[in-house]
Amino acid sequence: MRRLPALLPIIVAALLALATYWLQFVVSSERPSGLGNDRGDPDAIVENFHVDKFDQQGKLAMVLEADELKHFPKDDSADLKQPRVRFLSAGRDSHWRSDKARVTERGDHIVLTENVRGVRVATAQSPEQVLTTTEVILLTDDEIAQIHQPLTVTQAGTRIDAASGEWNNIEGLLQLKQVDATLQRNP
Amino acid sequence: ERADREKPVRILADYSPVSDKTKTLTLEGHVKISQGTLVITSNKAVVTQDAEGFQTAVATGGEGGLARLQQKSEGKDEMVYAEAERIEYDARTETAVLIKRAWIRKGVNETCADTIEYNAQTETSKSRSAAKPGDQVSIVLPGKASQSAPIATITCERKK
Repeated sequence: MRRLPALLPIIVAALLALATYWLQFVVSSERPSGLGNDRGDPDAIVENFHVDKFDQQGKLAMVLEADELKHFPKDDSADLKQPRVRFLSAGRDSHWRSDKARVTERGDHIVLTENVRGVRVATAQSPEQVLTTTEVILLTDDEIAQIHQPLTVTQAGTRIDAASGEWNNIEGLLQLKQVDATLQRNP
Repeated sequence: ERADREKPVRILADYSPVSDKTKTLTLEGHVKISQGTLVITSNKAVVTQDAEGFQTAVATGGEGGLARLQQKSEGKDEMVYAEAERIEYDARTETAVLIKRAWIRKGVNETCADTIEYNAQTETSKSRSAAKPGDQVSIVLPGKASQSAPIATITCERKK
């Protein structure tokens, strides 16, 4: 008991250190107030979403629609349900749809996933072209579709399966890798 | 074989740019075009098609710089083999024009020339060589006597 007075300051200092550590712990683990800021919490949900995008000449260039849009503040991205994208300007009239999509860079970059289907509408010189796959990265400004998954393209009696590819709607150029094509002879 | 023309055309390749503008299917790397018993293999090929489907294929390059074609003869268990630096196949007329270092073998008959035009319908071929001295069409038709005997390996003078 005689040594208690000598130990007292050490005990007090230890208690203070513990209290400081506890306070730091409490402060840092506190959930951010107001809206949840990590990607799991959208800050806006829109149903029957529709956006028109115009080119520099004021002409309608692209239409983006979806049954539902969820916007995430942290990275300014959005998830769409049943998205539909339509290109109307420089390239051939074409449209895409899928079950889901993620939109980033303010709509310049759309990743379509699940049951993706792209259609380039028929013209006088060329029949309708249809591309189906599981995932497509759409670079909307350039109307380019990048496909890193197996895909199938059909046009009239021709069917082309490939391991990957890129579709440039403005250039009218489809570049495919590991191609397996079947051309029918019309009777 | 005559039935080939009714069959769909199957095409395999490493890479293929398909262009709206040129209406062609360009194929590069390990190209194989098959329709029934007809098979064309090459490094590169350009396929054109129209409303009726597959129409022409121009195949170039391959092992040793040669594109290759093979097809089964009508009603016989006999194959036609052909090689050339360039093979132009037209599905409508069923003719293959073999250009440069052309060689064709049908059964035991062999022909080498600068250009050979082979008609798959009639199974006949026409050969031409450039009019340079020393350049002739070289045809090998093994004699009757040797028909049953093993055929000496007489081959055309094929320019490498």
